[in-house]
Amino acid sequence: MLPDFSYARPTSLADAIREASAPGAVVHAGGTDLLGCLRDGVIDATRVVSLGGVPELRGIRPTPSGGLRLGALTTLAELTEHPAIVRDHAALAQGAAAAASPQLRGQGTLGGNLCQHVRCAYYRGGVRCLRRGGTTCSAANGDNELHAIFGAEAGCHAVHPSDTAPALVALGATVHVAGPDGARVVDAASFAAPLAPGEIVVAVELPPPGPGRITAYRKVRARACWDFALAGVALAIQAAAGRVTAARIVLAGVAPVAWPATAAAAALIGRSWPLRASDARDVAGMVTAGARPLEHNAYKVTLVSGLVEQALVAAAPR
Amino acid sequence: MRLEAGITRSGALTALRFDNTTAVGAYADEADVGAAVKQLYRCANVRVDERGVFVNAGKTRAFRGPGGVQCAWALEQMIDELAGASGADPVDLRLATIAEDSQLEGTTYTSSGLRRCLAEGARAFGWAEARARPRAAGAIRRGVGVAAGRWAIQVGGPATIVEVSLWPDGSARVRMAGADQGTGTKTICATIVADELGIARDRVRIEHADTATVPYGTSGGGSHSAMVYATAARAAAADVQRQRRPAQPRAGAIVGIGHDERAPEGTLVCAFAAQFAEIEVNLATGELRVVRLLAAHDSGRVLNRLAFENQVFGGMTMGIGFALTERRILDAATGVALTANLHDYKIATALDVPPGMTCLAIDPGDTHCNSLGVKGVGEIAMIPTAPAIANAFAHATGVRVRTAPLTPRRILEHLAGRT
Repeated sequence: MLPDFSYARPTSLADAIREASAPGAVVHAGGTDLLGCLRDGVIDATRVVSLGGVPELRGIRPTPSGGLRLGALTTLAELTEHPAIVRDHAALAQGAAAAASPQLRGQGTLGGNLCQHVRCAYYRGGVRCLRRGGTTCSAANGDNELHAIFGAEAGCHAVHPSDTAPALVALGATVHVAGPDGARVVDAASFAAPLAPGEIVVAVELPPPGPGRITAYRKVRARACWDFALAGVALAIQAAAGRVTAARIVLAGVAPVAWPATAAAAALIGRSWPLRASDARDVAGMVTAGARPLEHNAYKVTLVSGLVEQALVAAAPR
Repeated sequence: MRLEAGITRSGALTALRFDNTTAVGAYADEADVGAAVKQLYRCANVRVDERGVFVNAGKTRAFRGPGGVQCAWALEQMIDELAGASGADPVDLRLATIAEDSQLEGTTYTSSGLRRCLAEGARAFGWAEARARPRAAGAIRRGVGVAAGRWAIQVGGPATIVEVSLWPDGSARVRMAGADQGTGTKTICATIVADELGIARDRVRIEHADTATVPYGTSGGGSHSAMVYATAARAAAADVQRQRRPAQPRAGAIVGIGHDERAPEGTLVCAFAAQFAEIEVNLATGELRVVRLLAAHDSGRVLNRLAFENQVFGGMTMGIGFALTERRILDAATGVALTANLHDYKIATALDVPPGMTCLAIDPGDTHCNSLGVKGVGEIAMIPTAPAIANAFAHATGVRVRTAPLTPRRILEHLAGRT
C-alpha cells in the first residue's frame, strides 16, 4: 500500500532542489520505479516532489562541441527514436529500446533509469538484507541466479538494473547533477545512486561521436519483453585504416554498476577491423577475467563471453 | 517426478513406471499427475505411484491442465527418448503406440481423434521435411518437436439447468449459471439457442453468473463448460420449441427448461491433441525463441471457431511460459516468495509468442458424448506445448533438459554438461 505523502510540483530547478532537500522527500520523474518502491515498502516517503514542471530537465539539444545534451526527463521512448541518437549514439537508442515494455518506456525517464533501485527479490520483497539494514547479503547464500559475478566485494550482490547506463559509459557520457551545494559533473562510469539529499540528475551529456565510431547494445534476458538483463553489453569501437584505434566494452546485468571490461577493450586496440572471428573470441574470453560467480550464477560467465563475442562480430560493418 | 520406460527394438512399449511426489503446501490435497501415463499409450506394464507432501507454503491450486501439463513434460520427453533409442521417428512411434481407447478396465472413450491429430498435424506442419533438415553449424540452431496429450472431461454433481424464455417480440433470454471466464460460453449458448429457436443471435440476451437469479449450474472448470452449457441451453430451447403453437396468441412468454447431457455410464469423454513446435536456440547465450507452433486438437465439434482458437492459442501461450520462463521461487532459508509479482513470475508476453501459430480442429464426429458431439478444449490446449518445445530443443542440440523452465541459465548449464 502506498504511504501517506504530501505532493509538490515546483516549476524551477532551484525550487525542486529546495523541496527535495526536505526530510522524507523523494523526487518523482516518470514514477515507474518510485511508485513500485513506495507500494512495496522498499523506500518510505512523506513528500513526493514532482519534477514534471521543471523546464531545465527537459529537451534534447546539440552541444557546442558537437555532442548532445539530454534532459533528465527525456523518456526512454524518446531515446529510441531521436534521429541524432539513433545515428550517432546507437548503443543508447538500443539500450533504451531493450528496457522494460513499451508502456514503461513511454513513461520512464533517462534520469530515473540511472537512479532506479536494484531489482533483487530479497531487497524488493521486504527481507532485511544488507541494503535494508541487515548484516548480510541474503542473495549471497540464497537464490542468486540473477546476481553479480563482478564487483560485489562490498557485500550486496544485486546487479545494476539499467540498460542505458552501460551504453552511456561506452559512449563516454557525463551526468550533470544539481543539489543544495551546487552543481557537479560526473563521468557516467563513476555515477552512483542514491544521490545526496536534495540532489537531482539534470541532464546527461554525450560527447561528439568521432569519425566512424560504431556503437551497439545487446541484451540477453529470459523473456522477450519486460525483463531485466541476465547480461548485456554496450560496445563503442573506433577504427582507422583497418585497425581498431579505440574501444569500450561495458557489461550490464553482471555487477552492481555498469561494468567496464577494461582489459578486454584494451586488447581490441590494434586488431584488424572488421574483426577476425578468432580475434572476437580471443577478446570475448578476456571479459570474464576476475569473475567471482556464486552458487547459482556461474552460467553468467559463459553467457557474457558468448554474448560479447557475438556482439563484436555483429558490430563489424559488412 | 521419476519416469522409467522400456521399449523393444521393434518399438513396442513394455513398461512405464511413474513415481511422483508433489509438494501440496500446508493443507490437504492430493497428487494426481500420472493419468496420461496410464492412458495415452498402449503398454503391457504400467505402474503409477503418487503422493503429496506437506510443505510450509501455500496450498497447491489448479493452474490450467493441472497435473496434465507436468505429466506431459515427463512422458512426452520420454517417448522422444524412446524414439531416439529405437531409431524411430517421434511421430511414427506415437502413431504406432497411442491408445485409441481407454486403458482403464471397464471404460471406453466416446471417441478419439488422436491418430488424426498426429497425422494431420504432422502433414500441416511439414514435420518430415523439418525433421530431416541437417543440423546447422554455428551458434544458432533450429529444431522441431512434437508432443501429444489428453484430458478427460468429467462432470459430477447435480444436473446443470438452463432456462430459456421466448418473449412475444421474438427475442429470447437465457438464464444460466456459467460465468464465462473469457472462454466464449455465452457466445456459444446464444448461437445454439438462436439456432434452435430460428431467431437472430443478436435477439438473444444472456443473464448469467448471478446466484440470485439463475438456476443451478456447475462451475466453469475442467474443460466442461462448453459441453455442459451448450447441451443444457439446447435442451431448454428445444423445450420452448415444443411448447410453441402456430396459432398461439402473442402474449406472455414461453419458458423452457433444459439440463445438461451426460455421457453414458462406463464411457469417458476425452479431448486429445498433438502439438508441433519449431524453436531456435543460441548456443552461446542460451537464448531460445519459439519460431512457430501448430496445434491439432480433437475437442469434438467446434461450436465457435474464434473462441476455440482463442482457447488453443491462449493455452499454447501459457505453455510457452511453462516451458521457458515461469517458475515459483521460495527462498530456501526463509520461505519468502521471490516471485511474488508478475514481473518476477514471468508469464509469456506478446513478443514471446511466435508469429506463426496455427490450429487444426479435428472433429471425430462423436455421437456418444452428447447430442452436439462437443467435448472441450480449455485444459488440453496447454498440455502438449512445453514438452513439444523441449523436444524441439533436444532435436536442435542433442541435449535433453528434464527440468522446466528452459531458461538461458539452464540451457547454458546443460550445454556445458554442468547439471
